[in-house]
Amino acid sequence: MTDSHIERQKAPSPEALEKNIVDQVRRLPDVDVPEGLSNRIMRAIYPRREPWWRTFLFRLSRPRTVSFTPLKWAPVGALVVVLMIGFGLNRIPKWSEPSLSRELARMPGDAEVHYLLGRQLLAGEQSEKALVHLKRAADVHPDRALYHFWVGVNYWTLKD
Amino acid sequence: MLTAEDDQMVEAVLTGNAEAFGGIVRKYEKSIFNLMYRATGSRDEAADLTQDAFLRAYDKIRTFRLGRKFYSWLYALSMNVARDHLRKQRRRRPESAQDPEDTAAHPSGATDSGDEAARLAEIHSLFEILRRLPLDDREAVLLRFRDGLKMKEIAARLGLSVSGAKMRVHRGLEKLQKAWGGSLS
Repeated sequence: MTDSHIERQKAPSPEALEKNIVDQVRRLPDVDVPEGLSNRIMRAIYPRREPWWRTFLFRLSRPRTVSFTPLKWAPVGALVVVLMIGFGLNRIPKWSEPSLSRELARMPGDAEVHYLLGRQLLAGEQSEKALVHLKRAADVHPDRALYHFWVGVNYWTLKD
Repeated sequence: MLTAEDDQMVEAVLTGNAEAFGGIVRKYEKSIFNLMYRATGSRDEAADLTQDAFLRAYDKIRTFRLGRKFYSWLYALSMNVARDHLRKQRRRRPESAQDPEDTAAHPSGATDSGDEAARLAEIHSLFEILRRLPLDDREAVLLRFRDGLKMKEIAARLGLSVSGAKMRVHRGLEKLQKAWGGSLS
């Protein structure tokens, strides 16, 4: 490049200069990392490892996030409900039939005693006798849906 | 720079798996080494400072809050390492602070010819001009125009307010223009 050529060159405008600088900066390449730098760093780090009790304490003290997905647990919930109905909630207490009959003689108008006796008889496959007591219970307390339900069950066992 | 991936590695380190820190080192060593190289102009010094930065990060990793951007945290910490180093260097030998050891050497250490050599010379001269800028101004300009970061992110990395970051970028660009104009005339 000759001196006369340099003289002919115009100084760039500030905008053009800024654009040029920004372009150059954008294209500025990264310097290559010296080989083995990460190994060197890790060798310096190993002696600084935390004692086991400190990491153990961290494991105990760090907060945890628990997630719950209702749909995932729906089958389990359904199984629990079935098991509760099947084995627990709807079971009648084990009253002996004679003791219930004695109770009935003492309280002839008690709907609950009629119901329990009816359930015992139904469980003992004496459906016809059971129907009398269950119907009596439903008559005394017509607002108790449970009594009507078991009357229905009783008719079903009699295939009526 | 995935936050979730970084969080997993940090959590592994916190639960005693020091090897997991190797993943962090491998992922970010290039960026941090380049930051240090821009700060010192020397490959050896940059390597030492990169090591110092990662050691400091390992020692302070408990202060990192999971869910935040790990690279911003590491970058801010590395900037402090670089600032400390430059401060010490200025105190030790004030006359050489403006005169890096191997500014004559090419940044990548490569030698080329022809057009490639001209392009590399241009890059080298830009690098030299950049080196004359204060560390924070230079990094602000590079983060803005080379990495294309938003002002909020630049502020987080440099430990400044957003207006402070804007000022750094503006000031850095202005100084760069002046220096560039000076080098042309």
